[in-house]
Amino acid sequence: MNKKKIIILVSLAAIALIVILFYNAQPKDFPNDKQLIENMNGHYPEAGALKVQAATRLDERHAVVPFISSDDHYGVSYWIWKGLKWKLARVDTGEPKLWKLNANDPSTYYLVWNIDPKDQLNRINYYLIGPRGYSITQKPESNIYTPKIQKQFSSAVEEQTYGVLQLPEEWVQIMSSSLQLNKARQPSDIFQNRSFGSPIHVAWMPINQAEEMKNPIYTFNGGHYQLEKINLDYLQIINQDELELP
Amino acid sequence: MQFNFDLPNNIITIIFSVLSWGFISFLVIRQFLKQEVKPVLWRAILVALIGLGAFSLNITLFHTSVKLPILPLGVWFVYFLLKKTTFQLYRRFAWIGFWANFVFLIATLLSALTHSWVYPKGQVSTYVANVNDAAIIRIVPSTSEAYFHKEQFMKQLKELKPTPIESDNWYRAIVLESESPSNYRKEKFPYQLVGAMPKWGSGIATEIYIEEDSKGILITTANQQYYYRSTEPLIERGADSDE
Repeated sequence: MNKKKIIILVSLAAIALIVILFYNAQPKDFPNDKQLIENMNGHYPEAGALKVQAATRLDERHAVVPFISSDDHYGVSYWIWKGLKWKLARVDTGEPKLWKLNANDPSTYYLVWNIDPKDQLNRINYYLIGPRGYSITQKPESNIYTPKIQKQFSSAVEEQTYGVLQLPEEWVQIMSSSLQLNKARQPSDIFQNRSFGSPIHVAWMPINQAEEMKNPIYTFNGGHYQLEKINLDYLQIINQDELELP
Repeated sequence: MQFNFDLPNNIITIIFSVLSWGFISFLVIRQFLKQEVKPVLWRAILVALIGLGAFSLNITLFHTSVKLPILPLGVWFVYFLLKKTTFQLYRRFAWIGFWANFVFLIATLLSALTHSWVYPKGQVSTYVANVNDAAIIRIVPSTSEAYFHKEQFMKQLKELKPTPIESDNWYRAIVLESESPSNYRKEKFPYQLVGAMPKWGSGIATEIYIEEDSKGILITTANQQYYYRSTEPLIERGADSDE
Protein backbone atom coordinates (compact mmCIF):
# COMPACT_ATOMS: atom_id res chain seq x y z
CA MET A 1 0.00 0.00 0.00
CA ASN A 2 2.76 2.42 0.98
CA LYS A 3 4.73 1.57 -2.12
CA LYS A 4 1.72 2.38 -4.29
CA LYS A 5 1.26 5.75 -2.60
CA ILE A 6 4.91 6.62 -3.17
CA ILE A 7 4.66 5.69 -6.83
CA ILE A 8 1.55 7.84 -7.26
CA LEU A 9 3.16 10.79 -5.45
CA VAL A 10 6.36 10.52 -7.48
CA SER A 11 4.48 10.40 -10.78
CA LEU A 12 2.31 13.38 -9.78
CA ALA A 13 5.45 15.33 -8.92
CA ALA A 14 7.00 14.35 -12.24
CA ILE A 15 3.90 15.51 -14.13
CA ALA A 16 3.90 18.79 -12.19
CA LEU A 17 7.58 19.29 -12.99
CA ILE A 18 6.99 18.64 -16.69
CA VAL A 19 4.08 21.09 -16.71
CA ILE A 20 6.17 23.77 -14.98
CA LEU A 21 9.06 23.21 -17.39
CA PHE A 22 6.68 23.36 -20.32
CA TYR A 23 5.24 26.67 -19.17
CA ASN A 24 8.68 28.11 -18.57
CA ALA A 25 9.56 27.17 -22.13
CA GLN A 26 6.74 29.45 -23.27
CA PRO A 27 8.01 32.52 -25.03
CA LYS A 28 8.25 35.58 -22.84
CA ASP A 29 10.35 38.46 -24.01
CA PHE A 30 9.98 39.76 -27.50
CA PRO A 31 13.19 41.21 -29.01
CA ASN A 32 13.51 45.00 -28.72
CA ASP A 33 13.19 47.29 -31.74
CA LYS A 34 16.94 47.44 -32.37
CA GLN A 35 17.27 43.66 -32.37
CA LEU A 36 14.24 43.34 -34.67
CA ILE A 37 15.74 45.76 -37.20
CA GLU A 38 19.14 44.04 -37.10
CA ASN A 39 17.49 40.66 -37.58
CA MET A 40 15.38 41.84 -40.53
CA ASN A 41 18.20 43.62 -42.33
CA GLY A 42 20.57 40.73 -41.59
CA HIS A 43 18.31 38.20 -43.30
CA TYR A 44 16.95 40.48 -45.98
CA PRO A 45 19.07 43.59 -46.58
CA GLU A 46 16.57 44.83 -49.20
CA ALA A 47 14.09 45.41 -46.37
CA GLY A 48 16.23 48.35 -45.27
CA ALA A 49 14.27 48.55 -42.05
CA LEU A 50 14.85 51.81 -40.23
CA LYS A 51 12.07 52.22 -37.70
CA VAL A 52 9.79 49.73 -35.98
CA GLN A 53 6.29 51.22 -35.62
CA ALA A 54 4.84 48.87 -33.04
CA ALA A 55 5.63 45.23 -32.34
CA THR A 56 2.32 43.44 -31.77
CA ARG A 57 2.02 40.02 -30.17
CA LEU A 58 -0.96 38.08 -31.52
CA ASP A 59 -0.60 35.26 -29.03
CA GLU A 60 2.18 33.42 -27.21
CA ARG A 61 3.89 32.33 -30.39
CA HIS A 62 3.03 34.81 -33.13
CA ALA A 63 3.89 38.46 -33.59
CA VAL A 64 3.62 41.13 -36.26
CA VAL A 65 6.02 44.05 -36.66
CA PRO A 66 5.04 46.92 -38.96
CA PHE A 67 8.09 48.96 -39.93
CA ILE A 68 9.28 51.87 -42.06
CA SER A 69 12.31 51.41 -44.31
CA SER A 70 15.17 53.85 -44.91
CA ASP A 71 13.70 54.70 -48.33
CA ASP A 72 10.30 55.40 -46.72
CA HIS A 73 8.47 52.21 -47.59
CA TYR A 74 5.86 50.78 -45.22
CA GLY A 75 6.28 47.08 -44.64
CA VAL A 76 5.31 44.31 -42.25
CA SER A 77 7.40 41.49 -40.81
CA TYR A 78 5.95 38.28 -39.39
CA TRP A 79 7.53 36.50 -36.43
CA ILE A 80 7.01 33.10 -34.88
CA TRP A 81 8.30 31.47 -31.70
CA LYS A 82 10.11 28.34 -32.85
CA GLY A 83 12.95 26.26 -31.47
CA LEU A 84 12.99 28.26 -28.21
CA LYS A 85 13.52 31.61 -29.90
CA TRP A 86 11.69 34.30 -31.87
CA LYS A 87 12.30 33.76 -35.58
CA LEU A 88 11.65 36.10 -38.47
CA ALA A 89 9.18 34.22 -40.71
CA ARG A 90 8.51 36.72 -43.46
CA VAL A 91 9.09 40.29 -44.57
CA ASP A 92 6.45 41.71 -46.90
CA THR A 93 4.83 44.84 -48.24
CA GLY A 94 1.99 46.47 -46.32
CA GLU A 95 -1.14 45.79 -48.36
CA PRO A 96 -3.72 43.86 -46.30
CA LYS A 97 -3.18 40.16 -45.77
CA LEU A 98 -4.82 37.45 -43.73
CA TRP A 99 -2.50 35.51 -41.41
CA LYS A 100 -4.07 32.16 -40.49
CA LEU A 101 -2.27 31.03 -37.36
CA ASN A 102 -4.30 27.82 -37.42
CA ALA A 103 -5.95 27.30 -40.80
CA ASN A 104 -8.64 25.07 -39.24
CA ASP A 105 -9.76 27.73 -36.76
CA PRO A 106 -10.95 31.06 -38.19
CA SER A 107 -10.82 32.64 -34.71
CA THR A 108 -7.02 32.59 -35.16
CA TYR A 109 -7.15 34.54 -38.43
CA TYR A 110 -5.67 38.04 -38.30
CA LEU A 111 -5.92 40.90 -40.76
CA VAL A 112 -2.58 42.69 -41.03
CA TRP A 113 -1.83 45.88 -42.95
CA ASN A 114 0.49 48.86 -43.12
CA ILE A 115 -0.63 51.48 -45.63
CA ASP A 116 1.86 53.97 -47.04
CA PRO A 117 0.56 57.49 -46.19
CA LYS A 118 1.67 58.66 -49.65
CA ASP A 119 -1.30 56.70 -50.98
CA GLN A 120 -3.55 59.09 -49.04
CA LEU A 121 -6.09 56.50 -48.04
CA ASN A 122 -8.76 57.33 -45.54
CA ARG A 123 -9.81 53.80 -44.66
CA ILE A 124 -9.98 50.20 -45.75
CA ASN A 125 -13.27 48.41 -46.16
CA TYR A 126 -12.99 44.72 -45.45
CA TYR A 127 -15.50 42.26 -46.89
CA LEU A 128 -16.43 38.66 -46.24
CA ILE A 129 -17.68 37.38 -49.56
CA GLY A 130 -19.46 34.16 -50.49
CA PRO A 131 -20.80 33.84 -54.02
CA ARG A 132 -24.46 33.07 -54.68
CA GLY A 133 -24.94 29.88 -56.65
CA TYR A 134 -26.91 26.75 -57.36
CA SER A 135 -26.10 23.22 -58.39
CA ILE A 136 -28.33 20.43 -59.61
CA THR A 137 -26.89 16.96 -60.13
CA GLN A 138 -28.62 13.71 -61.14
CA LYS A 139 -26.17 11.15 -59.77
CA PRO A 140 -26.07 11.42 -56.83
CA GLU A 141 -29.32 13.34 -56.86
CA SER A 142 -28.99 16.74 -55.26
CA ASN A 143 -30.40 20.21 -55.63
CA ILE A 144 -28.50 22.88 -53.74
CA TYR A 145 -28.85 26.64 -53.52
CA THR A 146 -26.12 28.74 -51.91
CA PRO A 147 -27.12 32.18 -50.64
CA LYS A 148 -24.95 35.24 -51.13
CA ILE A 149 -22.73 36.30 -48.25
CA GLN A 150 -21.49 39.87 -47.98
CA LYS A 151 -20.36 41.27 -44.64
CA GLN A 152 -18.39 44.47 -44.19
CA PHE A 153 -16.48 46.60 -41.74
CA SER A 154 -14.08 49.52 -42.04
CA SER A 155 -10.70 50.32 -40.53
CA ALA A 156 -9.31 53.83 -40.52
CA VAL A 157 -5.73 54.18 -41.76
CA GLU A 158 -5.27 57.95 -41.68
CA GLU A 159 -4.08 58.37 -38.08
CA GLN A 160 -2.33 55.03 -37.79
CA THR A 161 -0.89 53.45 -40.94
CA TYR A 162 -0.75 49.91 -39.59
CA GLY A 163 -3.22 47.53 -38.00
CA VAL A 164 -3.58 43.97 -36.74
CA LEU A 165 -7.11 42.75 -36.24
CA GLN A 166 -8.88 39.51 -35.46
CA LEU A 167 -11.87 38.76 -37.71
CA PRO A 168 -15.26 39.82 -36.28
CA GLU A 169 -17.08 37.13 -34.31
CA GLU A 170 -19.82 36.76 -36.93
CA TRP A 171 -17.27 36.24 -39.69
CA VAL A 172 -15.56 33.58 -37.60
CA GLN A 173 -18.87 31.76 -37.15
CA ILE A 174 -19.73 31.91 -40.85
CA MET A 175 -16.26 30.73 -41.87
CA SER A 176 -16.17 27.97 -39.26
CA SER A 177 -19.40 26.33 -40.41
CA SER A 178 -18.23 26.58 -44.00
CA LEU A 179 -14.88 24.96 -43.12
CA GLN A 180 -16.55 22.13 -41.23
CA LEU A 181 -18.98 21.47 -44.04
CA ASN A 182 -16.15 21.33 -46.55
CA LYS A 183 -14.27 18.90 -44.34
CA ALA A 184 -17.31 16.63 -44.20
CA ARG A 185 -17.58 16.49 -47.98
CA GLN A 186 -16.05 13.20 -49.01
CA PRO A 187 -14.63 12.40 -52.41
CA SER A 188 -17.04 10.19 -54.31
CA ASP A 189 -14.40 8.77 -56.64
CA ILE A 190 -10.67 8.43 -57.13
CA PHE A 191 -10.36 11.52 -59.33
CA GLN A 192 -11.80 13.91 -56.82
CA ASN A 193 -9.42 15.83 -54.63
CA ARG A 194 -9.93 15.66 -50.91
CA SER A 195 -9.19 19.30 -50.23
CA PHE A 196 -12.20 21.40 -51.06
CA GLY A 197 -11.40 25.06 -50.73
CA SER A 198 -14.03 27.09 -48.98
CA PRO A 199 -15.67 29.50 -51.44
CA ILE A 200 -15.98 32.10 -48.68
CA HIS A 201 -13.11 34.58 -48.69
CA VAL A 202 -12.01 37.96 -47.38
CA ALA A 203 -11.54 40.90 -49.77
CA TRP A 204 -10.77 44.60 -49.30
CA MET A 205 -11.41 47.99 -50.83
CA PRO A 206 -9.07 50.97 -50.42
CA ILE A 207 -10.98 54.24 -49.95
CA ASN A 208 -9.37 57.68 -50.20
CA GLN A 209 -10.33 60.98 -48.56
CA ALA A 210 -12.66 61.79 -51.44
CA GLU A 211 -14.67 58.63 -50.63
CA GLU A 212 -13.49 57.02 -53.83
CA MET A 213 -11.89 53.68 -54.35
CA LYS A 214 -8.21 54.17 -55.11
CA ASN A 215 -5.46 51.65 -55.78
CA PRO A 216 -2.62 52.25 -53.31
CA ILE A 217 0.44 52.11 -55.55
CA TYR A 218 3.06 53.00 -52.92
CA THR A 219 1.81 50.35 -50.50
CA PHE A 220 2.17 47.62 -53.13
CA ASN A 221 5.71 48.73 -53.90
CA GLY A 222 8.45 46.40 -52.67
CA GLY A 223 9.48 42.81 -52.45
CA HIS A 224 9.03 40.02 -49.97
CA TYR A 225 11.20 37.42 -48.36
CA GLN A 226 10.16 34.22 -46.61
CA LEU A 227 12.23 32.26 -44.08
CA GLU A 228 9.62 30.14 -42.33
CA LYS A 229 6.42 28.65 -43.72
CA ILE A 230 3.34 30.55 -42.51
CA ASN A 231 -0.28 30.62 -43.75
CA LEU A 232 -0.43 34.10 -45.20
CA ASP A 233 -3.22 34.86 -47.68
CA TYR A 234 -3.09 37.74 -50.10
CA LEU A 235 -6.47 39.45 -50.26
CA GLN A 236 -8.03 40.50 -53.51
CA ILE A 237 -9.33 44.00 -54.04
CA ILE A 238 -13.06 44.12 -54.65
CA ASN A 239 -14.69 46.73 -56.88
CA GLN A 240 -17.81 48.72 -56.10
CA ASP A 241 -19.72 47.06 -58.94
CA GLU A 242 -19.09 43.60 -57.48
CA LEU A 243 -20.92 44.55 -54.29
CA GLU A 244 -24.60 44.22 -53.55
CA LEU A 245 -26.16 47.30 -52.00
CA PRO A 246 -28.87 47.60 -49.36
CA MET B 1 -4.54 2.87 -46.51
CA GLN B 2 -5.16 6.32 -45.16
CA PHE B 3 -4.48 7.37 -41.61
CA ASN B 4 -6.74 10.08 -40.39
CA PHE B 5 -5.64 11.69 -37.17
CA ASP B 6 -8.67 13.90 -36.93
CA LEU B 7 -10.64 12.61 -33.99
CA PRO B 8 -14.01 11.64 -35.44
CA ASN B 9 -16.93 13.29 -33.67
CA ASN B 10 -19.33 10.79 -35.16
CA ILE B 11 -20.13 8.27 -32.43
CA ILE B 12 -21.29 5.56 -34.87
CA THR B 13 -17.99 5.68 -36.77
CA ILE B 14 -16.06 5.48 -33.51
CA ILE B 15 -18.03 2.41 -32.38
CA PHE B 16 -17.55 0.60 -35.67
CA SER B 17 -13.81 1.43 -35.78
CA VAL B 18 -13.35 0.01 -32.29
CA LEU B 19 -15.36 -3.09 -33.24
CA SER B 20 -13.34 -3.70 -36.43
CA TRP B 21 -9.98 -3.28 -34.70
CA GLY B 22 -11.22 -5.59 -31.96
CA PHE B 23 -12.28 -8.21 -34.50
CA ILE B 24 -8.92 -8.00 -36.31
CA SER B 25 -7.05 -8.35 -33.01
CA PHE B 26 -9.19 -11.39 -32.29
CA LEU B 27 -8.23 -12.93 -35.66
CA VAL B 28 -4.52 -12.31 -34.99
CA ILE B 29 -4.64 -13.80 -31.49
CA ARG B 30 -6.68 -16.80 -32.64
CA GLN B 31 -4.18 -17.49 -35.42
CA PHE B 32 -1.33 -17.16 -32.94
CA LEU B 33 -2.89 -19.66 -30.52
CA LYS B 34 -3.80 -22.04 -33.34
CA GLN B 35 -0.36 -22.19 -34.90
CA GLU B 36 1.82 -25.04 -33.64
CA VAL B 37 5.13 -23.42 -34.51
CA LYS B 38 4.74 -20.07 -32.81
CA PRO B 39 6.19 -16.94 -34.39
CA VAL B 40 7.35 -13.98 -32.25
CA LEU B 41 4.10 -12.23 -31.28
CA TRP B 42 5.17 -8.62 -31.85
CA ARG B 43 6.57 -9.55 -35.25
CA ALA B 44 3.32 -11.31 -36.13
CA ILE B 45 1.43 -8.12 -35.22
CA LEU B 46 3.84 -6.02 -37.26
CA VAL B 47 3.44 -8.36 -40.24
CA ALA B 48 -0.36 -8.08 -39.96
CA LEU B 49 -0.09 -4.28 -39.93
CA ILE B 50 2.16 -4.34 -43.00
CA GLY B 51 -0.31 -6.75 -44.60
CA LEU B 52 -2.94 -3.99 -44.31
CA GLY B 53 -1.11 -2.08 -47.01
CA ALA B 54 -2.92 -2.61 -50.28
CA PHE B 55 -3.66 -0.93 -53.54
CA SER B 56 -7.33 -0.10 -53.36
CA LEU B 57 -9.94 1.59 -55.49
CA ASN B 58 -12.25 4.24 -54.13
CA ILE B 59 -15.75 3.22 -55.11
CA THR B 60 -19.22 4.28 -54.07
CA LEU B 61 -21.50 1.61 -52.67
CA PHE B 62 -24.96 2.52 -51.36
CA HIS B 63 -24.10 6.25 -51.45
CA THR B 64 -21.03 5.59 -49.32
CA SER B 65 -17.48 6.10 -50.48
CA VAL B 66 -15.40 3.01 -49.61
CA LYS B 67 -11.98 1.60 -50.45
CA LEU B 68 -12.04 -1.73 -52.29
CA PRO B 69 -8.68 -3.48 -51.79
CA ILE B 70 -7.33 -4.99 -55.02
CA LEU B 71 -3.61 -5.78 -54.77
CA PRO B 72 -2.12 -7.14 -51.52
CA LEU B 73 1.02 -5.01 -51.69
CA GLY B 74 1.80 -5.49 -47.98
CA VAL B 75 1.66 -9.28 -48.28
CA TRP B 76 4.03 -9.19 -51.27
CA PHE B 77 6.37 -6.90 -49.37
CA VAL B 78 6.53 -9.33 -46.43
CA TYR B 79 7.03 -12.23 -48.88
CA PHE B 80 10.03 -10.60 -50.49
CA LEU B 81 11.42 -9.44 -47.16
CA LEU B 82 11.42 -12.79 -45.37
CA LYS B 83 13.12 -16.10 -46.14
CA LYS B 84 10.84 -18.83 -47.50
CA THR B 85 10.79 -20.77 -44.23
CA THR B 86 10.21 -17.71 -42.05
CA PHE B 87 7.50 -16.48 -44.40
CA GLN B 88 5.53 -19.69 -43.82
CA LEU B 89 5.50 -18.79 -40.13
CA TYR B 90 4.06 -15.32 -40.79
CA ARG B 91 2.11 -15.91 -43.99
CA ARG B 92 -1.30 -16.13 -42.38
CA PHE B 93 -0.76 -12.93 -40.37
CA ALA B 94 0.08 -11.00 -43.51
CA TRP B 95 -3.14 -12.25 -45.12
CA ILE B 96 -5.15 -11.38 -42.01
CA GLY B 97 -3.82 -7.86 -42.53
CA PHE B 98 -5.01 -7.84 -46.14
CA TRP B 99 -8.46 -9.25 -45.33
CA ALA B 100 -8.75 -6.67 -42.57
CA ASN B 101 -9.30 -4.13 -45.37
CA PHE B 102 -12.55 -5.91 -46.14
CA VAL B 103 -13.48 -5.80 -42.47
CA PHE B 104 -13.06 -2.02 -42.64
CA LEU B 105 -15.06 -1.87 -45.86
CA ILE B 106 -17.98 -3.75 -44.31
CA ALA B 107 -17.68 -1.67 -41.13
CA THR B 108 -17.87 1.53 -43.20
CA LEU B 109 -21.02 0.33 -44.94
CA LEU B 110 -22.62 -0.85 -41.70
CA SER B 111 -21.80 2.41 -39.93
CA ALA B 112 -23.31 4.43 -42.79
CA LEU B 113 -26.43 2.26 -42.60
CA THR B 114 -26.65 2.57 -38.81
CA HIS B 115 -26.00 6.31 -39.02
CA SER B 116 -28.94 6.92 -41.33
CA TRP B 117 -31.10 4.75 -39.05
CA VAL B 118 -30.13 6.55 -35.80
CA TYR B 119 -29.99 9.99 -37.45
CA PRO B 120 -32.70 9.93 -40.14
CA LYS B 121 -31.84 12.04 -43.16
CA GLY B 122 -34.16 14.88 -44.03
CA GLN B 123 -35.57 15.17 -40.51
CA VAL B 124 -35.11 18.63 -39.02
CA SER B 125 -34.47 17.26 -35.52
CA THR B 126 -31.38 15.48 -36.86
CA TYR B 127 -29.80 18.76 -37.93
CA VAL B 128 -31.14 21.15 -35.32
CA ALA B 129 -31.28 19.47 -31.92
CA ASN B 130 -29.82 22.05 -29.53
CA VAL B 131 -30.10 25.82 -30.02
CA ASN B 132 -28.85 26.99 -26.61
CA ASP B 133 -25.91 28.82 -28.21
CA ALA B 134 -27.61 29.67 -31.48
CA ALA B 135 -27.70 33.12 -33.04
CA ILE B 136 -28.87 34.76 -36.25
CA ILE B 137 -26.41 36.52 -38.54
CA ARG B 138 -27.58 38.82 -41.28
CA ILE B 139 -25.36 37.76 -44.18
CA VAL B 140 -26.24 40.42 -46.77
CA PRO B 141 -26.78 44.19 -46.49
CA SER B 142 -30.08 44.10 -48.39
CA THR B 143 -32.29 43.27 -45.41
CA SER B 144 -33.13 44.23 -41.84
CA GLU B 145 -31.58 42.71 -38.72
CA ALA B 146 -33.28 39.70 -37.14
CA TYR B 147 -33.30 38.17 -33.69
CA PHE B 148 -33.32 34.63 -32.46
CA HIS B 149 -35.69 33.51 -29.71
CA LYS B 150 -35.17 29.94 -28.59
CA GLU B 151 -38.77 29.23 -27.53
CA GLN B 152 -40.31 30.73 -30.65
CA PHE B 153 -37.88 28.85 -32.89
CA MET B 154 -38.23 25.47 -31.18
CA LYS B 155 -42.02 25.75 -31.20
CA GLN B 156 -42.08 26.40 -34.96
CA LEU B 157 -39.49 23.68 -35.60
CA LYS B 158 -42.06 21.00 -34.77
CA GLU B 159 -44.53 22.39 -37.31
CA LEU B 160 -42.20 22.49 -40.30
CA LYS B 161 -43.25 21.08 -43.66
CA PRO B 162 -40.68 19.68 -46.12
CA THR B 163 -40.82 21.74 -49.31
CA PRO B 164 -39.14 21.16 -52.69
CA ILE B 165 -35.99 23.13 -53.44
CA GLU B 166 -36.01 25.11 -56.66
CA SER B 167 -32.41 26.26 -56.61
CA ASP B 168 -32.28 27.24 -60.28
CA ASN B 169 -35.53 29.21 -60.17
CA TRP B 170 -34.52 31.00 -56.98
CA TYR B 171 -31.17 31.90 -58.47
CA ARG B 172 -32.74 33.14 -61.68
CA ALA B 173 -35.37 35.14 -59.84
CA ILE B 174 -32.65 36.97 -57.91
CA VAL B 175 -29.95 37.39 -60.53
CA LEU B 176 -31.57 37.43 -63.95
CA GLU B 177 -35.17 38.43 -63.55
CA SER B 178 -34.91 41.02 -60.80
CA GLU B 179 -36.07 44.40 -62.01
CA SER B 180 -33.64 46.36 -59.92
CA PRO B 181 -30.08 46.98 -61.17
CA SER B 182 -27.61 44.20 -60.46
CA ASN B 183 -26.27 45.90 -57.34
CA TYR B 184 -29.68 45.86 -55.68
CA ARG B 185 -30.42 42.15 -55.64
CA LYS B 186 -32.63 40.78 -52.90
CA GLU B 187 -31.28 37.61 -51.31
CA LYS B 188 -33.94 34.95 -50.71
CA PHE B 189 -32.11 33.56 -47.67
CA PRO B 190 -30.48 36.61 -46.04
CA TYR B 191 -29.94 35.09 -42.55
CA GLN B 192 -27.65 32.37 -41.32
CA LEU B 193 -28.36 30.42 -38.15
CA VAL B 194 -25.06 29.70 -36.37
CA GLY B 195 -24.27 27.75 -33.23
CA ALA B 196 -27.14 25.27 -33.63
CA MET B 197 -26.02 21.75 -32.70
CA PRO B 198 -27.08 18.63 -34.62
CA LYS B 199 -28.30 15.55 -32.78
CA TRP B 200 -25.72 14.36 -30.25
CA GLY B 201 -23.04 12.08 -31.67
CA SER B 202 -24.11 12.49 -35.28
CA GLY B 203 -21.07 14.55 -36.25
CA ILE B 204 -23.14 16.13 -39.03
CA ALA B 205 -21.85 19.45 -40.36
CA THR B 206 -24.41 21.96 -41.62
CA GLU B 207 -24.97 25.44 -42.90
CA ILE B 208 -28.44 26.71 -41.98
CA TYR B 209 -30.15 29.68 -43.65
CA ILE B 210 -33.42 31.41 -42.85
CA GLU B 211 -35.66 32.86 -45.54
CA GLU B 212 -36.37 36.56 -46.02
CA ASP B 213 -39.99 36.18 -44.78
CA SER B 214 -38.55 34.28 -41.74
CA LYS B 215 -40.81 31.29 -42.44
CA GLY B 216 -38.41 29.08 -44.38
CA ILE B 217 -35.32 27.20 -43.27
CA LEU B 218 -32.70 25.86 -45.68
CA ILE B 219 -30.26 23.27 -44.33
CA THR B 220 -27.14 22.40 -46.31
CA THR B 221 -25.33 19.19 -45.38
CA ALA B 222 -22.22 17.71 -46.97
CA ASN B 223 -24.15 16.08 -49.83
CA GLN B 224 -27.71 17.32 -49.65
CA GLN B 225 -29.92 20.26 -48.94
CA TYR B 226 -33.27 20.33 -47.18
CA TYR B 227 -35.93 23.03 -47.22
CA TYR B 228 -38.82 23.43 -44.82
CA ARG B 229 -41.57 26.00 -44.45
CA SER B 230 -43.51 27.01 -41.38
CA THR B 231 -46.76 28.95 -41.09
CA GLU B 232 -45.46 31.30 -38.37
CA PRO B 233 -42.10 33.16 -38.28
CA LEU B 234 -39.07 31.20 -37.07
CA ILE B 235 -37.18 34.34 -36.07
CA GLU B 236 -38.11 37.91 -35.25
CA ARG B 237 -37.27 40.42 -37.94
CA GLY B 238 -36.49 43.99 -37.02
CA ALA B 239 -37.99 46.99 -38.76
CA ASP B 240 -36.97 47.28 -42.40
CA SER B 241 -33.81 49.28 -42.74
CA ASP B 242 -34.61 52.65 -44.22
CA GLU B 243 -31.45 52.69 -46.34
